Order: sequence, then C-alpha cells, then structure tokens
Amino acid sequence: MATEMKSLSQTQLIMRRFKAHRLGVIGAVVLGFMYLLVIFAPFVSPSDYLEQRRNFVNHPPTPLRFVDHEGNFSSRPFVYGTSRTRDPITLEVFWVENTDLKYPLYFLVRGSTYSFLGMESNLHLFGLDQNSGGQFFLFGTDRFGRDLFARILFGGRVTLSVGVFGIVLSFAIGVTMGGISGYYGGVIDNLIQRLIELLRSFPRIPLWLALSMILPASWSSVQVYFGVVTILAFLDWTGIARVVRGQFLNLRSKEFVEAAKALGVSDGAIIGRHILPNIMSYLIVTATLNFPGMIIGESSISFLGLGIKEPMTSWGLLLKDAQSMDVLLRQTWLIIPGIFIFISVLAFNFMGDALRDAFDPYA
Amino acid sequence: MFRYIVRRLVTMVPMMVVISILCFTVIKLQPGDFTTQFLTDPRITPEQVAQIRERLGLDQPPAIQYLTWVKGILTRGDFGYSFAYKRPVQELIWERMGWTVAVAGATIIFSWAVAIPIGIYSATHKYSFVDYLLTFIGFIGVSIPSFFLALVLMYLSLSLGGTAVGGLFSQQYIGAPWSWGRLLDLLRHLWIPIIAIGLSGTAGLIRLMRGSLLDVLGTQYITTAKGKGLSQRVVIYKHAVRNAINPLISVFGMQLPELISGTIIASIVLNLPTMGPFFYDALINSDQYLVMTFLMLSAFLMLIGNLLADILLALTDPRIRYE
Amino acid sequence: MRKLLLAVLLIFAMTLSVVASPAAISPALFEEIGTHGGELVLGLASTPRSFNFYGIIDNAAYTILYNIIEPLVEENPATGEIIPGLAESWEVDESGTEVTFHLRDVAWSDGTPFTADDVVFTMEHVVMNTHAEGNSADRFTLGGQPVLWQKIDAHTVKAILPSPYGAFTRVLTHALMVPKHKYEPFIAALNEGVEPGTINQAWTTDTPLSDIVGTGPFVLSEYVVDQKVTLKRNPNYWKVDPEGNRLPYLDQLVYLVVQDDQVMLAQFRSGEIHRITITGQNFPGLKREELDGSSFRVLTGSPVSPTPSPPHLAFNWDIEDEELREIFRNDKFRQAMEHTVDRHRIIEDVYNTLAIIPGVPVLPANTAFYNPAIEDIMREYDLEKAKRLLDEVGIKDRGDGVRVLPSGRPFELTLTTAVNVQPHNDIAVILENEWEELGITTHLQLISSTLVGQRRTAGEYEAIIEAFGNQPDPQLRKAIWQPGRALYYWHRSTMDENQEPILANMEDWELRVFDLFELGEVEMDPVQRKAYYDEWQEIYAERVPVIYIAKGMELQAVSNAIGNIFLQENGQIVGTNYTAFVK
Repeated sequence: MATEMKSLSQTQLIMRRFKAHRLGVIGAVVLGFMYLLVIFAPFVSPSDYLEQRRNFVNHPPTPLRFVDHEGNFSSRPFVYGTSRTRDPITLEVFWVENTDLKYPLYFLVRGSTYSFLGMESNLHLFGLDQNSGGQFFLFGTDRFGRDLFARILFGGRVTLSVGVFGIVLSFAIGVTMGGISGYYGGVIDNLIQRLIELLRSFPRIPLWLALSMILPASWSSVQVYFGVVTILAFLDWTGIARVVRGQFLNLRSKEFVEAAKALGVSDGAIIGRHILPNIMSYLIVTATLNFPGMIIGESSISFLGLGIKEPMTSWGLLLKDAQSMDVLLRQTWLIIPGIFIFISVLAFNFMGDALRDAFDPYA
Repeated sequence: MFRYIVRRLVTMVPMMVVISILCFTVIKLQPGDFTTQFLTDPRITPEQVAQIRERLGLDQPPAIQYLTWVKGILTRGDFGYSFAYKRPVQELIWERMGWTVAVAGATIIFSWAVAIPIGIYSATHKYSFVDYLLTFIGFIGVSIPSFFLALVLMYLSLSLGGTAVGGLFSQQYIGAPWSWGRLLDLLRHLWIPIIAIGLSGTAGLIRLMRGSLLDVLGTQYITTAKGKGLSQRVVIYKHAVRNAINPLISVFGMQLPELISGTIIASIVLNLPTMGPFFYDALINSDQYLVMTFLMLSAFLMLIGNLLADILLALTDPRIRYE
Repeated sequence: MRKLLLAVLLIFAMTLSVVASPAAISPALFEEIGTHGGELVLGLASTPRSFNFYGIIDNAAYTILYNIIEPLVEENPATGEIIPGLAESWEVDESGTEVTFHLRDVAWSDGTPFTADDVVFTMEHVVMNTHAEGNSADRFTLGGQPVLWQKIDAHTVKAILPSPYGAFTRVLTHALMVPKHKYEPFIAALNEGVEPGTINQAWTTDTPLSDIVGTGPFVLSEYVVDQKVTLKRNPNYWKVDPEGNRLPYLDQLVYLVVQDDQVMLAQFRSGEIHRITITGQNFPGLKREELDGSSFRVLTGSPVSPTPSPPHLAFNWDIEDEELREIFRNDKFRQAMEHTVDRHRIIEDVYNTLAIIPGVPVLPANTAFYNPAIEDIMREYDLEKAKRLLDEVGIKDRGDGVRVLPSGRPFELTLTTAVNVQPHNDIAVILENEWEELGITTHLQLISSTLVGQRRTAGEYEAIIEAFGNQPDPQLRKAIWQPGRALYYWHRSTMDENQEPILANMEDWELRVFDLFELGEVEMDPVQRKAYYDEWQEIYAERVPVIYIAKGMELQAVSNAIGNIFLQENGQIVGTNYTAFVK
C-alpha cells in the first residue's frame, strides 16, 4: 500500500517538473498544434492538395496585406491578383502583383467540398471568395501549380503518423527484447544478442532497396509505404534494445536490486517498479532521437524513389522537389517543408528533454 | 574474458553463414537478374542471352549458385565475378575500400572529437546560453536529411566563391602523387562530406553524452564523491565521465557498418569515390556476387564492431562481467 | 556536249564514291581555326565498367571509346551525312551487294599499321561475335545471312551483302575498328582452349593503358578508379583542319565521373567542368548568369538528335485482363487518350518551353525522312472530344464522375514511368490529373528507369511512358517500330520466342507497317525508301499505337574558354572533341 501511494505522487511530481521546463512545454504545444493542423487538414487548407492549377505554376507565396498601395489600412487582410510574365531570353517566370485586382481574405469561408470522417463539407478555415477568381497561396505553388500549403498539411498527415507508428512499434519490441536480454543474462541474453547482431548486420539501405523490389506492384503507395516503415521499425528496435540491455547490465548489480531480490520481490515487479523508471530517461531520449530518424529515413527512401509516391505526398517527398540548386535560388519557398521537419523535430527534442528531466528521480 | 572473446568469434561463423543465406535469398527474390538488361537491347538475341546466362552460371538453380559461390570462397578465396565489370569482385571492392575508410574514419573522428567535449560542457553548464546554443545547432544537424544538407552546403560554398564542390579532389589532383597541395585540396573538399554525413551523428552523440553525464552526475555515488571532498574536476572526469561514456560505447560499435551503407546517399549526392554509390549500382544491375560480397563484408564489420563494443564496455565498466 | 558529259560524269562519280581531300574534315565543324594545347574537362554520368566497346552495354564506356577507336565511315556531326572515316572511299557495285572499301594509310597508336586484316578481324570475330555482350551481329545479318568480309589487299576490303542494304553505311558508323594484334588472344575461334565468352575479358578496366590502342584522336593516359579518365593527344592522328594543321588541338581530354547531376552543375559553375548538357529546368538560372556576365554561354540547339526519342505513351495490348486488352487494342480508345495529352502545356511547364511537337517519331529536323502530312493527323488536346470518344468506346460516366467499363466496373489505370527522368515523371503527374478529370481512377507508379525497363520487358504494366535511343534512319531502329520485333513492346504477341514475327497476330495496318519496313530495308533508291517510311508515319499518326508527346531541345552550357563549340545556322549545336580548343 505504501508503494502505491508513492507512485501516484511520483506522477504528480513528474508533471510538475515537466511544466517547469518551459521549452518542453512549448515543444508539446507546438506538436499538439501541428497534429491538430494536419488532422483537420481539409478544413484548414483553402485548396485541395491534388489540384493542379496550370495557370499558376511556380507561383511564389502570395503576400498578405493590410495596407494597400495607396497607403489605406484595412482591418480585413487582402491579396492582390497576380499575372505572369516570362522573360523572353532567360525564360524565367515572373509573377507580378496587379494592384487593380483586390481580393479580401475571409474566415470560415465556403470553398471546395471535401469529406472528413464520413461527412461532406465545404467549410474552410480561411480563403478568398470562391467566385472572385482570385488565388491565395500561403506558401506558393510547385511546378504543377499545386498549393504547397495544402500539400504540407496533407503530407504532414503521412509524415507525423508514420513517425509515431514506427517509434511505438520499434519501442515496444526493443524494450521487451533488451529488457529480457539484459535482465536475465546467460543463454537468453546470448541468443537475443545474436539475433540483434544478425538484424543489425543487414545494411539498411540495400535491404530497403531489395525489399522494395519484392513488394507487390499492386499495392497502393500508402500500403507500400507502411510496409516499408514496418520493415524499418523491425530493424530499428535493435538500437533501443542495445541501450536498454546496457543499462540493465549496469543496474543488475546495483544494491537496491539485489536487496529487492533478497526480499523476495518477483522479477516482474523488480523490472516494472525499479529498473524501468531508472532507464526511462534513456528510453525517452532515444525515442525522441529516433523520431527525427524516422522522418529522415522516410525522406531518404523517398529520395531513392522507394517511399511515398505521387500523388500522395509527405514532407520528405516535398523536400525532394527542392533538391536542386536552381530551385534553391528561384523557388526558395519549396524548402518550407524542410522547416516543418525541423520544427517538428525540434519540438520532439525539447519535449523529450523536458520529459527526461521530469522523470529524473535524483534531480 | 579471453574465453568469451573466443566464443564470440566462433559464434560468428555460423552467423555469417545464416546471414549469407538470407542475403542470397533476398537477392534472388528480386525479379530478373543481370541478363534482364539485355532483353531491352535489340542487338542481343534471346539465344545470345541464353548463352550469356549459361556462361555466368545464372541458369543453375539458386541453391547451386549459392553453393558454387561458397565453394569458390573456401577453396580459392574467390568471391565471385562481377558480371558488369568482368573482373573478380574482391579486386573491385579493394580498389574502393581506401577512400571509403578514409572518409568514414575522418567523419567518425570529427564527430567524436566534437561531440564529447560539447556534451560534457553542455551537461556541466546546464541551461546556460551556450548550452542552449549548442543544443540548437545540434538539433539542426539531426533534423536535416544529409542529402539536402549536402546540397545546401554546396550551394553556400559556390555562392561564397568556393570552387571545391563535389568529390574529394580538384581535377588535377585526382590520382596525382601526394603533396602538400594535394592534402590541402583534400581538406578543402572534405569539410562538406564530413559535415553532411557526420552532423546528425554528432548531434546524436552530443545529446547522448549530455544526457548520460547529467544522469550520472545526479547519482548517489557522485554525491558521495563530492561529499568526500574531491574536487569538481576530479569528480567529473575521473568518475562521472567514465560512467557516462557507457551508452556511447554501444553506439561506437554500430558506427562501423554505418561506414559503408549509411553514406550511400550522401556519397552519391556529393560524388565521392566510395563503396556506397558503387554498391547501389551493383544492386540496380543485379550484379549479384558483388552485392553478396559487399553485404557479407558489411555484416562482418558489424559483428566485429559489436564485439569491440562489448570488450570496450567491459574494460571501462568494471562492474560488467562476462561469464 | 563535252561539258554535259563532264557534268554527268562528275555527278556520277560523286554519287558512287565520296571524294574529298581525305584527311581534311568538313569545314562546317569549325567556327575558327584553333590553336594547339590545353585541356578540356567533361563530365561522365557513370563510371565506365570496361574499355571493351563490344564487351558491355555502358554509355560511359562508349563515350570514352569513341575518342580512341574509329569506324570505317562516319556521320558528319554537323550535317549528318556519311563521310569517310578509316575508309577513304568506297564503291558499290551494280547489284548493290558488293561494297569495296579503300582504307586510309594510318597506324595504330602503338605504331602497328592499320590494315585490311584489322577490318576483317573486327567485323568477323568481334562485331558479329554473338558471345560478345555488346555485339552488333543482327545489324549485319539480313534475312538470316551474315554480311561477309573479304581482304583484297592490305588496303582494300570488300563487303559482300546477302541483299541490297539501304542502311549499310549508316550501320557501319557504329562498328568501330579494334586492333587485331591486341584482341586476337581473346577470340575462341582463333585460339585453342579459349572459352567463347573470353571476348568480354578484353580491355577490362585493369588492362595496362598502353595495351589499349586505337586510330582515334586520343589515347588513354590515366584512369583513376571511379573518379576520372584522362586521355592525351594521339600525335599521329590522321585528321587535319581546313588549313592542314593536325588534329586534335587539345593536349588532354579529361572525363570526371560525376554521378549526381547537381554536383555536375556545381562543378560546371565553379569552372572545373567545361561543357555539360542541361535540362529546360536548369536553363533560366544558367542563362541569367550568362547575361549577368559569367564565364560560360548557354546554347539552345534545335532538336535534331533523334536520341532520345520523344517520350511516348503506350498501353499494354497483351495485358491479362481481357476487357482492358480489348480496350487498349481499340484505335478509338487510343485516339481518345491522345486528346488528353496537352502537348503545349507539357512543353511550357515540363520543358520550360524548350521543346517541340514531335514527329511519330521521326523529327521534323530529319528532312531526309520526316513526313509533314502527319501534322494534320495528330490530335490536339481536347478533353470534350476525349470524353465523347470514350463514350463511343463504351467507357461511360456512371453519373458520379467515375467512368465505368462496359462490364460495369470502374475504369482504373496504372501509369508507370521513371521517377528519375524528370520529363517522364512530370508528364505522368500531369496526365494523371487529366485522366482523373475524365473520371478514370489513375494510379501512378513512379519507379527507377531500370525497373521501368524490366516491367516493360516482362509486360507488367498497363500504361507506360517510355523513350528509346533512336536513329535518324528508321531502319536502324526497326527493332522498336516494326511489329513483330523485340522492342515492339506494346504488342509483344506479334513475336514468338525465337524473335520471329507472327503475322497472324497483327492488325491489318500492322501488317502494312511490317511490309513497309521489309521493303525499306532492301530498297536502295532513297526517294522510294522515303515513300515507304512516309506511309509508315501516316499510319502511326492515324492509328497511334503509341502517343508521342514532345521532343526536348538540345541544351548545352559551355565555358567561354573553349572554342569550336557553337550553334550552326540551322540551329544545331556542333562541337567535337577533336575540333575543340582552348582559347
């Protein structure tokens, strides 16, 4: 009974410590916001991410204005219409604002229809009057005239969900295997270690290549991707397992564990009550460090042409579109997905950091 | 300890065998083989393709192909024949080993030399401005894919007037005898690959070092040491760091196979003469013995790396004992 | 009367043999007379896997070897005409089946004289050697009979053709001569105990460079594995410029192996590489830099080179699904799909306007064979027409925007193409969008070009976008365009396992195309040949077995320090390694 009371207040202590870590809270909030955005992507996005506007190819982000060219302030933001010219010699495309065409921005506006959770709707968070003929591209368009903001939102669905899926899976397997291996030692440890070595001996990229060639061509791109991610997670758990095992080896000989054993406490209780909380910080650090690894892994696979495929999209695939010096120079907005990757990774790291500090029982 | 090492080495043999069988199976599951490319060329008739298949031994069942290959290794040290290059596989891999090891080695040295001091500093000056700054830079490294980072670095270098972009040497120093000029040229080229390939690993190491050291610093025996009156410096370096290095040792063992396969993409993007791009080509062309030998080499390095990590772990942490 | 006779004789002589100062090459290749010295650095997109032209299929190797060894006759890079190479002149007899070549008096780079023995050896034991992985035996086999070669004397060789062969000299431009004294040990037929496949072991990448001898402008001087190949001038090369100066001008030619095109661009911009090919997407950035005063110039060449062929859209006529098979074979369906291809938009967006409407597939610039009549037959982008034609075929909108097949199930299509070939990838994305608008559920399968090739060969695709290496003379690529041949891939059932055509499986218009190619192969009169190929193009335009999309223009960027790489009047880019020089 005394032990149960202790774990309750321990949780409260952890929460309090977490909230004290301001960066971590910011990280958690940012992530929460991001997940909200991508979950409600059809609502948040003014356009459909697949629609190709052939008249708006390679359009830079539309500047949102509050003050017009004559200096008048308007509380409702607006955008100007744009027209396209092509330099006759260099063939560069230039978009020029046309101050004669003014389109106000509305909130909770009617737009294209979409289906969400089985319901149909055409309500969007913001946008222009759909009959006005104006266009608002928050992050510009790509070379097919597709709204980058929309693609980032829908791509985010893929990237953020795949990361979680992969982490949870590899986490679960890794902790179990590493724990069993480190705690019990002996033959079991040996066998599991050999298994880990076997799996880790497979170089990842060649294996991904080889396996992707085996996956049925009839699978949709999403199915293929989850298939590959599962494979990734199945190789990735070994990293966590090794760290966990190392810690178990370390702690196994600690006095309080030997004392608990001497007192007759069961193995499971020892693992759960004493060892796990002690290694929790390592697990969290590793898990949060693996999340960016998942994202980077995803973008690497997409780079090789094995991951998410058109017309589906992910942040990694969007970054692949930016993989050229000409794009860096002249369509710089196309690297915005990279910023999203960066922010989400940062947020996860801050949050993981704060959690680690919060869990640390000796702080 | 000695017996343990011997036992590990002995277990490696059956492991390599199992790995080789699995690798071969995966390769054979791929549709087509080396001769498939000839089917798309109008100059080669199906009879010719059949002739080629026979000559290369590809008409045999996979099990026979595998056993023939193993026999070649055991009796003649022959790791097979590259269909594409028409030369023995081991010569081709050997030709490219040098630069692979050099680039990867330089990257590992760089990341460790940078990560450990920064990690220690970060942990001992927790929540200071420098800590946050270093952490932030570390995060950049972890969050940008290496191929994209390489592109950005090349672009930055070019726009700042640099000419050392891509590859390891300027044209005139490729294959030239060693000289100070050549060494300087190499260094001018090397910084982009090292940063692009090594930054995420470095950032990871920093985080790990920092976190690990912080944990150790908070443990009881450190408090005890401080209580005993030992100076801060002695406490940190003699006791804390030694224990904090623990989880990093595990990582070190893994870094060796990263050597070869992890740098494939960055090597392609930066045009480095390493085994990575070479292997990728071989895989695409179904040059199967080249692929097999490469996979086996990688697995072998991995196993050695693991053993090394375990030995190092035992050496640094006297509480860990192997029966 | 005598003047007339003289004129006739002159014309007669010119049509029977090519007369020119043998060593001075076409002035059209020169913008100015160059100076000796310096080096040219070029990029190579992959590492050469052998130096044996006939032992591998490898573009990097070919690029290097074309500098080292040469053919009997060449294509003038500026005009496309057949001009003398190692053969100074040749005559065709009346029957059109015997061609006598008079060889130039030159030596291999190691001093050994080049003789008829080398020619006969190369043709019989190397080019026609079916064990050589890069052989061209089928180009020199007519109706199952091989072309035979006979040495007349040290400098005269005769080719005996089983039948007249219109494309004979054209085909010879790709048969590069190799030295008998170096290749002989690898030939099974001439050596006891040597295995047939040993020909492929000749001139592998570990061969001592001094063993790789040729008659060409350059010889190999250095090879750094996976990084660079250096060639130096062959001091005894036979070609001279219009003023009699020995070519090549360059002391050294360097090929850097750069597999990533971004690095290639970066190294070009930094001045390390002197000449590259670029895409429409690279063009604006580089052109802007040129205008701002860079040290290079960008050349926009008219699309004259037939290779690669224009990307085309094909459907699998042998697909397992019976209903789809019927539809793909239906001319009206393919014509409907042609209406979904917005060529103008593709040229505008995918190629950045730097492309033209293609032929089918003969390019407009290929005046020897292009048939302008096809321009009236090719169909414009018109989604309404596409919808109507699909309705007529029986693929109708069931009311909710989804089109269904006659059987009632929704029409779904998988479009396969190479993700790493930018125009193909982008065209596929655009087409997918158009088809979705028509109500066809489209799945994109964007995979590596190698995999695309495999899927195509195995018949594992529904719709595919591909392009092939092409030749100006349709005869050289009959393997692709003639029904019943190995690469007539959209209708593989017109060919049996022995690669023989099955006439019974061909549509009636395919039979006509088959005949046209058979006739064109043996026809010697160029006017009549053209008539055959004209008809072929009209049939292709009308029946659209494949839908041709666009042909990109030739875009190159060259350092200003290099001379004799320029734009001709007819818009073609001209510049060879043996006429280039450092200013």
